[in-house]
Amino acid sequence: MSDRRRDEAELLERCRRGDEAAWATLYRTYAPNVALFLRGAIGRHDVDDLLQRVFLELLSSLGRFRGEAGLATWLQRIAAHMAKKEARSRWRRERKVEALTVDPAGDSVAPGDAAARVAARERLAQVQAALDTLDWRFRTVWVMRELQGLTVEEAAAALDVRPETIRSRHHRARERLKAALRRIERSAARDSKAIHALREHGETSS
Amino acid sequence: MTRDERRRRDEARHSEAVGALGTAFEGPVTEGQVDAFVAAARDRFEGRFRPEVRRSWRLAAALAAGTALAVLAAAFLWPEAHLRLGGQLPAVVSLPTERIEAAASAPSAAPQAGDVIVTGPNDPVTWEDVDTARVVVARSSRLRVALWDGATSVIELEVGRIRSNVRPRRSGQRYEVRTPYAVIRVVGTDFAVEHLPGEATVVTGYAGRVTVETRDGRPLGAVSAGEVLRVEAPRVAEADTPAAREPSGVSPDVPPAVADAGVEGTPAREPGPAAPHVRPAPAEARSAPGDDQPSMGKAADAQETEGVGAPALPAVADVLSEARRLLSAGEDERALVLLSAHEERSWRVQALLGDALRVQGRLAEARAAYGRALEAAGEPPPRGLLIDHATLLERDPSAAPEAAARAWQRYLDYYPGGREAAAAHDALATAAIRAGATVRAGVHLRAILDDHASSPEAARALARLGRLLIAAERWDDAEALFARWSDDPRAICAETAVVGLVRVRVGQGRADDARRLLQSYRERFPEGRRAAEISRLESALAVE
Repeated sequence: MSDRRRDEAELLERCRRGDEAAWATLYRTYAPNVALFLRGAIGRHDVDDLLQRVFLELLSSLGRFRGEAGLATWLQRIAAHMAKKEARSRWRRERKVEALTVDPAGDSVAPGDAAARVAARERLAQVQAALDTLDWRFRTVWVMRELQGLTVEEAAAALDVRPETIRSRHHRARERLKAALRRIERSAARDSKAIHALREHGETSS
Repeated sequence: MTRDERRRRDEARHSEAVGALGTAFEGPVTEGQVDAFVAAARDRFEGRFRPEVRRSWRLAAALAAGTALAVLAAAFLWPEAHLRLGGQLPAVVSLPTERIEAAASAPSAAPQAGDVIVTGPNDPVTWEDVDTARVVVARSSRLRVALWDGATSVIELEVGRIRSNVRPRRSGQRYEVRTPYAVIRVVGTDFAVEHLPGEATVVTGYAGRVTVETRDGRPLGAVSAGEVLRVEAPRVAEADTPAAREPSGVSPDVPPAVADAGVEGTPAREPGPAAPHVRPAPAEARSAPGDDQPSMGKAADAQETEGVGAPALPAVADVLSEARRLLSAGEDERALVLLSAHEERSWRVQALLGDALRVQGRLAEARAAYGRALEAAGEPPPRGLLIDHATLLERDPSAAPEAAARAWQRYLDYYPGGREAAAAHDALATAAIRAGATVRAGVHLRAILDDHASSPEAARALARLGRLLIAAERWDDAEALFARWSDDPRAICAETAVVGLVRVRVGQGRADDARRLLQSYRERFPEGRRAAEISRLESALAVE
């Protein structure tokens, strides 16, 4: 057994015994990657609650974990399953509400001067909008492969599909995302042209 | 720009997106989150992880597992009990998949061409090839694997019954089951073939679709989910032909007759090129969706082959209820099998099938299911169904945009005051804007603002209509529109209106008024959603 596997096994055994410090270590160690997946898969908001539920589910299913797959893979499976359920319930609640502006990226943009911040924020909003155009199957695979850096086999194990399916979905997700980015960029270019015209108009009138 | 340049540019955009999203989505976990998790876990698992409690919990789990396995074993030992349930859906034993696999005979590896498989009276056989199919051979069956190489799979069934759950086909891939009387070719996914030498070949569809033809290639029909096709033995071959006695791939000289299955007293038709009749399958075909065990009980076999006492179908309400339960338990695939098997019976089943497909992200299929449900539902079409259909058409890139617009228009024709009327107008406005029909778009946008002012679509309609008016330099109309909404109690509408007024002032060349409005915007909406847009306007007016 590798050192990593042994450490995992020890940590899980402590978790099984109800050691709260072990629970905290488990969460501290694995939550960032799961949070990255959830944010990518279902959006930036409301992830904290789901993240917590994923780990509670992990604790409640420890009895079923036999250690054949790594802990990260097991966790990824739980996260994918719960994110799918969450996406489904959101779909049921969904209404055709479309905000006039896309999600401001908050503090995630690197600090810099105001104009650069605004530009970066707008760019991030654009790529998020492009990501939103992907449906669940493609989006999860894209997030796992591109953002989390999972291998084809790891993603296949997490989603319980064949590696060929992952390869095909990944390819299609990339193509669809590129097309969406193209469309959004064209639309932004039109906006920018309009602003330029507006600026010129403003200057002449003042 | 050349194709290569375009590709490189796309790749660069994609890489940039990966970087931007990776940076945005990554983040450390705060100690506050860790504490909150530990507290939640403490609340939820209080006492559960203590050793003495764990022992009793394990004991209970072991008892439950033992009971479940006993039930499962009974189901395998006495499958007739399952099948005698008649029209009722069988009780579903909820066990983890791996446990069911362990209890059943372990699937063996894929066969080789030339293998002959003979099952005894108590020994059904299962094999699984992950790239091709899972096949269950019933008791007392005999078959020969003519070809099995990944691209082409041909099974010659000589006697007995097999059920094939076929993986989705790749282009050029072929899966066939041949009997002396028929060739069953897969279009869909899950079906069973039973061959009774001297009597008939019976094909039952569970999901998807198979085509059936004679050995010499004459088409007999197609079998979809929940249907059964019985190909009768040729009369002249009834007792003495080699085909009846030695059905190892010899084509009968006389075309087989085709008759309805499971209908009491229905005589077999005379041999000849009669059109096949495809009828709903007997209950066996509809029971136990996802259950891989084919009909292995003699009672059930007699019931199907003799066409006596075909039990009633389960009530549609039962099907719907069971499918909803499966969906809510996350067992989408089983729900799909169940719904596919019953979809011809009710538009409600078709609609729920659409939901299940949609949940799986199979949007084109979901859209088709909704379309079939709409056709079956008649007039007036159900409101929710119209909405689902239109919404999917709108989102499906393979569907023509006009189709979505037509679907939304149909919704408005029937339900002009319906709860999704604003969404319908919004979609129609979008289609009109895309088509450059600004007047028509304006009509829909005004309908939202006038008739559905409190809908969530109102803010967007306000922005879009205002933009159209500004683009047409209809400053007075735009001003009147935005002024009407600038004090709306909903911040999003008021904010949109104020920003619109700024744009109108700029358009009118009234820069000072525009600056005053910008100042007022900053005071009224310090956390405004449109701050980025306002910043751009401020830059344009050199206010900063």
